[in-house]
Amino acid sequence: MESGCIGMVHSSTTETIKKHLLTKRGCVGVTEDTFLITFNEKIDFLPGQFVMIGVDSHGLTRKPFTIGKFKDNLAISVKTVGEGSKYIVETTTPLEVIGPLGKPFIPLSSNGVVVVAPSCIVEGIHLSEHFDISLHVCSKAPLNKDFISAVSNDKMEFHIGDDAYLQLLNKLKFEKYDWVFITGSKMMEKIGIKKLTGEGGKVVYVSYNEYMGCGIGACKSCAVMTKNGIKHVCSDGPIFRGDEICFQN
Amino acid sequence: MLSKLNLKVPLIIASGPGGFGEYAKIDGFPWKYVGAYTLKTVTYNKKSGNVPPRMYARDGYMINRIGLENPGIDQFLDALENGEYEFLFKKTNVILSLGGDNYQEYIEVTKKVKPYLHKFIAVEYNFSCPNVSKGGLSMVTDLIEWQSLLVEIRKELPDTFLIAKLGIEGGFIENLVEKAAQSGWNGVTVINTIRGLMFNDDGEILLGGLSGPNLLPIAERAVYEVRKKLSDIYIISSGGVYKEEDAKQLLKVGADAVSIGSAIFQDEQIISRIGKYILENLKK
Repeated sequence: MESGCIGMVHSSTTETIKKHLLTKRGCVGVTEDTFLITFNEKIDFLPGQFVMIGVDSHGLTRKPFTIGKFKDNLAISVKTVGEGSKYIVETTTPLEVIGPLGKPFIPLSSNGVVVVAPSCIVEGIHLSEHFDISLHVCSKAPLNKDFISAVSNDKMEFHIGDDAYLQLLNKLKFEKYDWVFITGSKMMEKIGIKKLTGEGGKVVYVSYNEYMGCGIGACKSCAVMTKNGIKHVCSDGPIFRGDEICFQN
Repeated sequence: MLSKLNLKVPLIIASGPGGFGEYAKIDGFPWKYVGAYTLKTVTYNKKSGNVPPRMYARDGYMINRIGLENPGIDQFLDALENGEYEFLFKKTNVILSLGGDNYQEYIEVTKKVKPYLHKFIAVEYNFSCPNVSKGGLSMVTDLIEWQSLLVEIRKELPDTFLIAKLGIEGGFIENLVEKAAQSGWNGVTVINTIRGLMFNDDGEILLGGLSGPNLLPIAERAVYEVRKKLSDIYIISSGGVYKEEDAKQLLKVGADAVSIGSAIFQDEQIISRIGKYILENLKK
């Protein structure tokens, strides 16, 4: 859906959204409440895109997850915040999925860096590998040591605690990147945008999380206020330039 | 005047959750069981909708405060003329949903759609959206003026199957429906979402319309009361339908058709399960 054209179905309506059944290949703990799940099946997708995962009777909506690759397997990262996400982590039943959805991430140059919370680590790993750039994982809680040893590489750094995140932003401000991709909590993204845009001189991209009903552009629930009016995470995003977003108090 | 909608299955996609037919994009959408698809409400002027957050769900209920985001009638009709909805007309019957901010806008929007009525099986008017400060639910606060509007719309569209979408917050719903029937309207959709308040995970307050499975007993009572008072009006029951049994109960208390709303967010195959069940039970 193009911007400025509210609620219309475009000729892209004829494009089919595929349904998939995904069986788990593995599930590892990233932190106490966050998990990285890999699947046996493959989905053709581009960096930044997401899927909606059905949770059977464990929630009233499918749940959106950015997809990525981990050790060449299709993967998602899941923070357990409710019955739906708990079901996705624990079930042994194949997961019913629609996607890929949303617009892919096309950065302004290849000179960027990725900063993610553990809940978005799959997207971080995938972007880091896809664009061959550094990845900073910023976590409030300690990360699982086995997980760290399984994923570590020379492009990845870990930062634990709020102060470590702020120190990272101060450091990135003076490094010669054109852009910084930040995804995690709204607060994390908001602070990152504030610190790095403007005087920081960086373009910040955020992968936005907003509650979704349909994920396909029908219900208009995942609205985000931007300088160019209301946009929708599922059809205009999920990735937006930070300087476009109007944060509310 | 028609008293029934001629549907292959008395199952209708509710206005709102299904947008303008975007679900048609999903592989294997169960068209076989869709009797009609109601478009998102189109208002006289374009609406950008409410500021986010707009939705949150927990346990058996969800809240939305979309605020009738839509392109406005002129842009909608341009798209209609350009064939943007032809895919949907080819799949099933389509119900047009209309709204406005005030009496005059309801009349004007009605006049504008006159040349296009042949494309739609019915026109539903939204008199119950709780998420707009003007129009929607507020239209039934002055019953004399509202009935005058119903009469005037009927005069403008003498041959159209007219449906009033009503909620439970503008007085006893059976009394509202009686006014619609007296004004020559063919049917009603009962109920809409109910004003509610929820806190989301970020502690933000969402003032919006409540939907989800917990709405079912309220919808059932509304259908029951409307049918008790009016034996002929066509009733599309809406609210809390997630299972085959829900549809069965609504039909039992007097509904002519069952509307599926937010349940399609969970899985659109709910339509095939409920549609199949309805068809099998209609045969009995």
